Amino acid sequence: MTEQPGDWLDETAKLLALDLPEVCREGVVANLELLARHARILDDHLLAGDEA
Amino acid sequence: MIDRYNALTRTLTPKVHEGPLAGMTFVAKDLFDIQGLPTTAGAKMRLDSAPAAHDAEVIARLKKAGAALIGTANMDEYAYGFATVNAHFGTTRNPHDLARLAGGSSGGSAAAVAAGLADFSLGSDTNGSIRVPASLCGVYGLRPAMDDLPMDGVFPFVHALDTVGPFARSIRDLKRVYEVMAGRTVKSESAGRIAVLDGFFTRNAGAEAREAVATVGAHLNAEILNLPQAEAARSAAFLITAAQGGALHLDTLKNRAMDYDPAVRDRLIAGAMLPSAIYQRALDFGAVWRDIVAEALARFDVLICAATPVSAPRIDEGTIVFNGETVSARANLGILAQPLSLAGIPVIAAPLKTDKLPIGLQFATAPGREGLLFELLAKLEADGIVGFTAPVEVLA
Repeated sequence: MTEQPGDWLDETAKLLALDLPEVCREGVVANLELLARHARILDDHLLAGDEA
Repeated sequence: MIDRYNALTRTLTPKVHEGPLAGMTFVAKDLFDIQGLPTTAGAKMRLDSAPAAHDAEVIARLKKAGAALIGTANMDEYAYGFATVNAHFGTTRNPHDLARLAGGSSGGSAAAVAAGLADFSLGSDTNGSIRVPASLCGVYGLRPAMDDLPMDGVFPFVHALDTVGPFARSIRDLKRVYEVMAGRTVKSESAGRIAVLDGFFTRNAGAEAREAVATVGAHLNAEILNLPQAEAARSAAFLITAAQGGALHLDTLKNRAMDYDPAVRDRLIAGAMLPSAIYQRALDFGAVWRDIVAEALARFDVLICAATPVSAPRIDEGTIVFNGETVSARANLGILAQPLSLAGIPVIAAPLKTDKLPIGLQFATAPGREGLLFELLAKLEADGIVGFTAPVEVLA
């Protein structure tokens, strides 16, 4: 079964016992994408350190 | 106009004749407990919260020193912003140009001092919330070292990064207020080696910010220093903020999500969902970064960079341009402040002396060496390199 991005969002909200209003979803996804970019920046620097 | 307003304020406020701050007035960002008032932290939902039983510790110290608290100041909701654009209480305008942002999240405090409404003010700084509005409003702002000033009675945001500090129009006033808040006299020290930060701090500065740094750097005969991990430090601060802010607000989000400023709410929810492995990597990197900065401060007494990438953006434009990119103003005004937040060191944002729109610089040193910054900035102020310039039209 192919997982959709919304599935992850719903499952995580359920884990947190958070009722995620529909109106929030777009903003939350946009912010998660921003956090993912920052996580990649951190990874790039940390991995570059490992190679040095 | 400012002199007449100050004279009126002094007439109306109780006269206290004792203490090092006697006769001075101040306002406080509305996340400090003030006895008898609800602490809103910029959130409409907190207007009906129980009034504070006591003043926050720093407020108590300032009052004991003779300063008169005359009001509370607007802020981004729950301090999660660099703009002081508050969905419930409105946008704080920049006294130098009312069509422009004051910066945030302590924008109300910075604007009050810039406009001459109070002698000094209090803000909080997690990722740059004192330094950003200080830069955009053209006043001095101090982010102290982590755990330097008491946080009792201050509404929290990110416990790994939260600090409180003052704004003022002169370096002398900033020092006087800081000493009262800290409960100690600052040891006087002269700076030897000074470095201007390059790399990330230059790439992410617009032309006017780079010019401001070049002006100060040339005057001080500063060396150049690159800290290559600064970009990672910024990202780590971003991730730590998201995770800790989200965790703090999780219970309230479960019950009152729709009572939040939507821009703040969605950021907090995303932060609460951040996987713990990413959060932990950010924390671990924070420790590495602090060692890198400590090493730099063993070689240099003071590090300098711009406080904001640009001067105050227009309120009706959501974006700013630097590093060849057009990016969100609200998300990026603190880009140069965040790495120094994660370092946990004391930083003063000082305004370049200019007749154009204000822009500030960050002066950072090792914890316990704040005297270096005050002495250096007093010299730069006397030389006419940094300093407050009153807005042309205020309360017109």
